[in-house]
Amino acid sequence: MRQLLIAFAFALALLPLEAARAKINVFACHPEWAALAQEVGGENLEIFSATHPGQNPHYIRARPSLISKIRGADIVICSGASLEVGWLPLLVQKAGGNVQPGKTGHLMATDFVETLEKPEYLDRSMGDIHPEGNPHVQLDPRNILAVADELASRLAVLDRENAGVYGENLRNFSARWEEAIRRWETEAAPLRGKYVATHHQTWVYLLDWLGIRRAGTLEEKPGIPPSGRHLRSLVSEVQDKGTFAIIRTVYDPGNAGEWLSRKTGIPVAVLPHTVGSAEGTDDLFSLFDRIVENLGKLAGARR
Amino acid sequence: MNRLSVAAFAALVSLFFTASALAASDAEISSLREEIESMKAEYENRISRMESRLREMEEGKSAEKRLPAKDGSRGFAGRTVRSNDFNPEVGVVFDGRYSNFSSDDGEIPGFPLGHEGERGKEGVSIGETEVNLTANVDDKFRGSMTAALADHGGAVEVELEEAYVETLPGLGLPAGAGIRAGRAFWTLGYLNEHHSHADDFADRPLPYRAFLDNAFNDDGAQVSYVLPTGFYVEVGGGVFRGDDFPFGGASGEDINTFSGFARVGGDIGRNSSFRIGGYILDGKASGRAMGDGHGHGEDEHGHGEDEHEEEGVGNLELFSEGAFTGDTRLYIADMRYTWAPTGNPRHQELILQGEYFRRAEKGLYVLEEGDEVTERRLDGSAHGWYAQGVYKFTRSLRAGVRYSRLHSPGDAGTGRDPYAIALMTDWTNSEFSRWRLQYNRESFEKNRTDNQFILQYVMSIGAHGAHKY
Repeated sequence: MRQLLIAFAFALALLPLEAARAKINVFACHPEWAALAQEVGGENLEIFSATHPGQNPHYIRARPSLISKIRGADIVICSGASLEVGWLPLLVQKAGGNVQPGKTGHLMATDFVETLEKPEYLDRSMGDIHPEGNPHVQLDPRNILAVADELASRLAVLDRENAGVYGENLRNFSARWEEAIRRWETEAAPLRGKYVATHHQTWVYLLDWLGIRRAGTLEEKPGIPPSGRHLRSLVSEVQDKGTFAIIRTVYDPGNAGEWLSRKTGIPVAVLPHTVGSAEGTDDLFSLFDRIVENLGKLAGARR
Repeated sequence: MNRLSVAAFAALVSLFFTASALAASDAEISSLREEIESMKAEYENRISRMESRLREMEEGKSAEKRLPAKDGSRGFAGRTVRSNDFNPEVGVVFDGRYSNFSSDDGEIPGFPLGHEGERGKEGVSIGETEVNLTANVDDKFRGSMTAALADHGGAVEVELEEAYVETLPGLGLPAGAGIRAGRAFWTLGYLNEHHSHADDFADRPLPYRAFLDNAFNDDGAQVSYVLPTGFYVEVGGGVFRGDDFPFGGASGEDINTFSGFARVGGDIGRNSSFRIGGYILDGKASGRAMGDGHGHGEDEHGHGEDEHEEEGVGNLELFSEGAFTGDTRLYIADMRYTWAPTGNPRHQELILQGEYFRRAEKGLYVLEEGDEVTERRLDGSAHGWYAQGVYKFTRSLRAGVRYSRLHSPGDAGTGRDPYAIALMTDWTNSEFSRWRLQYNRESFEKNRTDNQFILQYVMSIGAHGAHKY
């Protein structure tokens, strides 16, 4: 019987079944996770990104279209750590049993990497804080690798037939990614120990990875717009530290950074924070290429 | 099976390398072999890691966090956010207001109102203070309770707004299906599902006040199902006791109150989306109480001497109290459109919303004005609608306008159908606090206009669930 099964399995493996098989539906909360799914799953997946690169991932409406998309999802991949707390729970409630918390189809990136900035205590007067730590983990490429590992395993469980493909894709991606990390680290080595100012705490993981220090955050409390008083107090602080750039994402309002830039002469720049958020960031590799390149240019101009 | 295909794949990979190496020299072959061996070793490492993860997941450990070993320099050792995971989420919503009305009279001629649908209190007052407790019951059910504490005539009354249990996807219902039972703000039009603190205006629009007594939250059960289509389609229906406005006085012997709904929605481009729905609510009222004398049932009502009966429709304008017995059917259509110019509703957003109500009634109104009691047969329909637009200029500032109108059953003899215009602006500090200033101009009959100013705050503490679309 067993031999028969094995023979049958081999016969199946030889048949071109591509056309007949339904694809695995992936509901990615953000473009970076959609891009990662593309790397690991490739052609076997039907990938949907719930947000576009211009959107602040904290504040998304639980739109009807998202309900219909998540309802058909086989796996949901998001950042977690309460980043999507304002909208994802409503959607998951309307989704199938397979993507509920604790199931294979529910993958939160922050569950598989070490988060930074876990608050010691919680109070709403502190702004939009995340009890689980800072959720913007995609900006440390080493985290991407950990999530890729987990994603491949889960896809293999969900789609046994293609387990080998996911394994091979993962191997391929990891090898290229590890090499790229070494390249980025070399390129960014001169930045180590230097200072930047950031708008929101979006960049914590990036700075932590590259050893860049933070001179200050324009938002005194996360998610609460910068106050004039706080900005004024930053002027001397960022100047004293020889800050080389003020960085923000494309969705952060620009006025506070521009004001600080005028006062201090430090350049203000929009860095891509996810795939597709700037020209030439079509995949995860080019995303980090642009980030490292832009940081290098900013630091070079300042020298 | 997975192990099998992995093995097959590994075999194929080595076959490929072996085949390409056939033409090469012995030295090359041996170096290639070594290379393959090392590749295999690395690959098998990964495979075995994956397989052990597979086993773990099959054993149900998938949700366990696998954190890399701490190097001591990061994070806070031992910090877990689980201290109250098993307690229900607790939230309290405060609603306070100052209202000023230019007219003493808030009655709507032709539309005897229920208790909740009446104009609010003048002066300084706290509206309803909502207390909400929500938690998963177990793997299959979830429970939620919302009580509103409100001051009614000097005494604080606790009103059970919602107390329901609902199914979780863990129950194994088909994907997209859910059942809710108990008392809840049922799916009926746009606003009914939402708690009033989430509304864009300080009061509900006229059709809600006249046809639903602000909200329909009868005891009952409702099933809903999101269809497996590419765009959003949800259908559902419910059965209810028939005790809440527009019904009332249900003995509970028969279940004769039903609802049904269907709605569709989707995105238009990247930054705007819409939803359109149709709803029906059908049932029998056995003494729906209206006006100040709420609690009048059919049988409580004595047939006095000065009572007289009239045939016809309309002319309900003289009466402030009464009860209705008969069949009521309500048709509702709703529409909502949101557009965030940059994709970020937090900074700028336009929301357009409108609903249309049609109520068909056949039955007997028993109306009182002082000692005079009048019975009136009614077989007709009334309708009403509202349309509103709210625009968010900045993260914290919004402004909105709303027009609502009612059409009486027949000519109510007031010379005009009631209408109301509302203008509002509000300031939102965070998701948890909002201040609002609203001006209402209500004109319910000729020569009577009520200019109202309302200053309101809505604040919440504790858990505060994400808001529905």
